[in-house]
Amino acid sequence: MLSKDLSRFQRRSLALFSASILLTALITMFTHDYFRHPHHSTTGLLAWTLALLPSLPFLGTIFLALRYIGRERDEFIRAQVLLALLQGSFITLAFTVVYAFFENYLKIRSAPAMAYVDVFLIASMIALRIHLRSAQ
Amino acid sequence: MTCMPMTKAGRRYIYRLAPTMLVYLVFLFIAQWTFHHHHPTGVFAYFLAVLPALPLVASLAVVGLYISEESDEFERSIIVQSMLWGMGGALSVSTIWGALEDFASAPHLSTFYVYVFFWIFMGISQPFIRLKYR
Amino acid sequence: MKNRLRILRAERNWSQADLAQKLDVSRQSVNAIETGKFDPSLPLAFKLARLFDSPIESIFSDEE
Repeated sequence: MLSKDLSRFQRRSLALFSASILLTALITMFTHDYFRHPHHSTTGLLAWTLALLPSLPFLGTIFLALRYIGRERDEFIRAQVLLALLQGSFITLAFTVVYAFFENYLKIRSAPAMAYVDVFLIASMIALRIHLRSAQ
Repeated sequence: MTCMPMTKAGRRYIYRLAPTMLVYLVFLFIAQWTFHHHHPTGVFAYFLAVLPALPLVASLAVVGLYISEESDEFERSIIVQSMLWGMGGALSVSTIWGALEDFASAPHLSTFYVYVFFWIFMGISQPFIRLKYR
Repeated sequence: MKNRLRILRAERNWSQADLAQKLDVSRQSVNAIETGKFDPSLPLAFKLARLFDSPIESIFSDEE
């Protein structure tokens, strides 16, 4: 996916974005392991602070995305990224609405914390890929 | 639902959204009543469960149509930015609360709140976004 | 982007609302463009040029 046509700014943004997603995955795995241990409490201030840890790199991802959109000078690429993020948003919201009613009426299991973020990122990236491909 | 300017596209948005929300209320009533009184199972249960979701998904399509039809590019830019802030806010809250649910035994918040938080953050962000352009 | 919209508007005694109506955009759009906080697209820039009967380069300037 790394094209030699990417500008230095785009390559750096992509690297930072990938690092933030990797960090999210690693911290989530660490937190899972920590709380699986029977002696580690799931209540109290320490538990709540540790539970919040996986969300931090994700919030960093949002910050990186906003920073990228604000600084990308190539208007066409910025427009394609915005369109892909919007389409990812619509797909994610449609998914959550349908899942919510299944949860409520059919009592299916709640999705894990990062599920909606995963749906959003995957949908947006696929949309972006399709847009950039069709623009070639 | 949010502050939309009264351009032609804005008016069309209201004319499309109002009946969509009405249909949602009707479908919600049908689903609630049927599940409460008849306890359906199988494919029919899945169909009934998804019924109220359909007009809500349609409401998202109505917003999408507004964005594509709005000829005022500045207003379109405001709405797009507020939608992205809405999504960012909704995903942040659901991720943080989801993590607390998974790891710190916090009480469960329905998935439906992702949709609700989206509209809340979208509405809240608009005046701040407009301030940037004053 | 710097522009002379305010001057051109004043020469014709148009309010921002008047200009917005002629361009079929909101008054906030006109204000955002005038203050240089929002850059119009090419079609809107051409609309402005036709309305003021001036070339785009005499209305907008991209000097920083």
